[in-house]
Amino acid sequence: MRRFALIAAVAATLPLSGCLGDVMEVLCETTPDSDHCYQAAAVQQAEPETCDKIEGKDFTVSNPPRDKCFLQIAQNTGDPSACDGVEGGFMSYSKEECLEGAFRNHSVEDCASADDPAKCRNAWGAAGKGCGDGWTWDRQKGVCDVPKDEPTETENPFENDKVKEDLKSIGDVGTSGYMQLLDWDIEHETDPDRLAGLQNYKEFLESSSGTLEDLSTTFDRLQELKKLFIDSYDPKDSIENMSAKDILSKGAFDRMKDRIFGEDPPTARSQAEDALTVYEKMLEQQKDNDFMQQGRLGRVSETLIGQAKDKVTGDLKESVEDIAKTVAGDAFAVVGIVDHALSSFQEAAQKEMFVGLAAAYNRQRDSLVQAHPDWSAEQLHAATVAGVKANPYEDVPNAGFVKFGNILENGDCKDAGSNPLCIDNRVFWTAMDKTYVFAQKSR
Amino acid sequence: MRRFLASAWFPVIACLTLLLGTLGATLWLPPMPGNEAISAGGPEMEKVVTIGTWVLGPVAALVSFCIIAVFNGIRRLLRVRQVGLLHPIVIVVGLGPWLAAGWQLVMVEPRFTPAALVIIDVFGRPLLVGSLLAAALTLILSLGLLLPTKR
Repeated sequence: MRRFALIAAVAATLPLSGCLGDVMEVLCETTPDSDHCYQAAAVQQAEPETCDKIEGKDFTVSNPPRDKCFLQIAQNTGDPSACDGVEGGFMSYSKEECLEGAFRNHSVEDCASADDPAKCRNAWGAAGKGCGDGWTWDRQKGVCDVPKDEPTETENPFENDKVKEDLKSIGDVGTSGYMQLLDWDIEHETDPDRLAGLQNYKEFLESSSGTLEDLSTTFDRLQELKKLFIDSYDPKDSIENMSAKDILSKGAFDRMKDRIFGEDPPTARSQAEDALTVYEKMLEQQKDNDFMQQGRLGRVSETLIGQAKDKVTGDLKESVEDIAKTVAGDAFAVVGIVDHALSSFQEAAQKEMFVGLAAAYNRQRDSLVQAHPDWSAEQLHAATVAGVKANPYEDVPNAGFVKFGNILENGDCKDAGSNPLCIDNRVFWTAMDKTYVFAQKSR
Repeated sequence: MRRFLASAWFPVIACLTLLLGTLGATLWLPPMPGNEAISAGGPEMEKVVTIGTWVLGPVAALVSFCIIAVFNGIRRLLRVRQVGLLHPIVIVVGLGPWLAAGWQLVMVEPRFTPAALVIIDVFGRPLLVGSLLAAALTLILSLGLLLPTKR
């Protein structure tokens, strides 16, 4: 009879559509082992406050079930702030173990789903693990904050009025005081990407003042140029900020099918194909980035020179673009090989080699992770890339994949000419790294 | 078709589908970690869960039938005549709690604890499959409402 009542009680609570953890917490008040019951309820709800109800009756010096409760919540959610309640002690878990569990197989971006995202980010930032994209660690306040656009000296209307009068040509830039205002901006810039843009802009002006000394210009044109250089270093669209999770996430129907029937365990081939899917999406983003960079390079010369189309103007524009490319490196570089890289691996006959290369990356990284568990993700990635490139023809025999040595021999697609077996090194290894990290977190 | 949609057979068939769908899913869905975790709770827990899986379908069907009967009773008290149109709506309302519970358990609830794994995999999945089948059957049969009436 009691058994039937328990079954009926459980069945009756199912239509509540509430959280399982809430239901479990209600039952904990009547169960004999309330400590472990509250522990399960707290972990299921991911609520550290419920862990405080664990009394630890069987322990005197410490409270291991309570500390384990915080540890498990941190491990499941990647929220280090859950470790704040850990007291540690004899036979119990320490705060360091709790924090290590929070950081393992998680990233600061997991804070987006935390109950208190700000507190979670601050805990990541305080541990020196960064605050995530779009956030910076404010050392003075000890919190993660959105970087604010501080006013610059070159935008100070009182200062630039003095400079405007003296500025007539590129050659006047150094003497008019504009460079001093720019130096002030550089000295006070904290965002590393904006700083790179400002520094390269300054170098561009210094190079131009020698070559294009008599070219007339105005203060406003120089401000436009400055903005172009800063935008070229804006990491917003960079493939480094693309998430493998967004690219590989399944639709609602596939997720429901996996939840009901179970997911097939990943195979070496499926993981390699996932990596190539990420590579393909990143190549498409890189194509858009290259197109935008090309537009910006053209705008640099048009801002300085104007839009006239005579020979003199054309020569001047070419000089300006050469200086910009020399100074700013990749920011204005347009390699134009993305189309070639995209088409090269989509051909079915060639795709097997790329699958083999991606599978080799995953295999080598797995063995490096086992051999060096203390290495950081960056160290592991660098060693894996070096290892794959060093011994392409000595890959594990009979692994079921086509050998990929030809792809690495052909080098980057920009050097491979019309040979289809090539990769875009800028993008390929980034895609492999991000997919590997995503696959580890999904396991 | 319209006579059938207006008759008591419609909710009966919907509830039978819920019952059979839930039972069938219990028997034939591939095992997941929650199914394997049952034995970790001991023989007593194993017996309770086994009985629960057999009882889930009939209990869900019976409760749904009662909800549908209550709403149909209210409809008759209020003398609302649009039976053919309202019947499918009332049936979906009757299946709603199980659909919501199954969805919440399978698609939303995190799988953090062994107890959650058991509840989600052993009870949540069959409930979601059974209620989805019953709701789909209701919607498909309701397409008969779109057929032209003979005058």
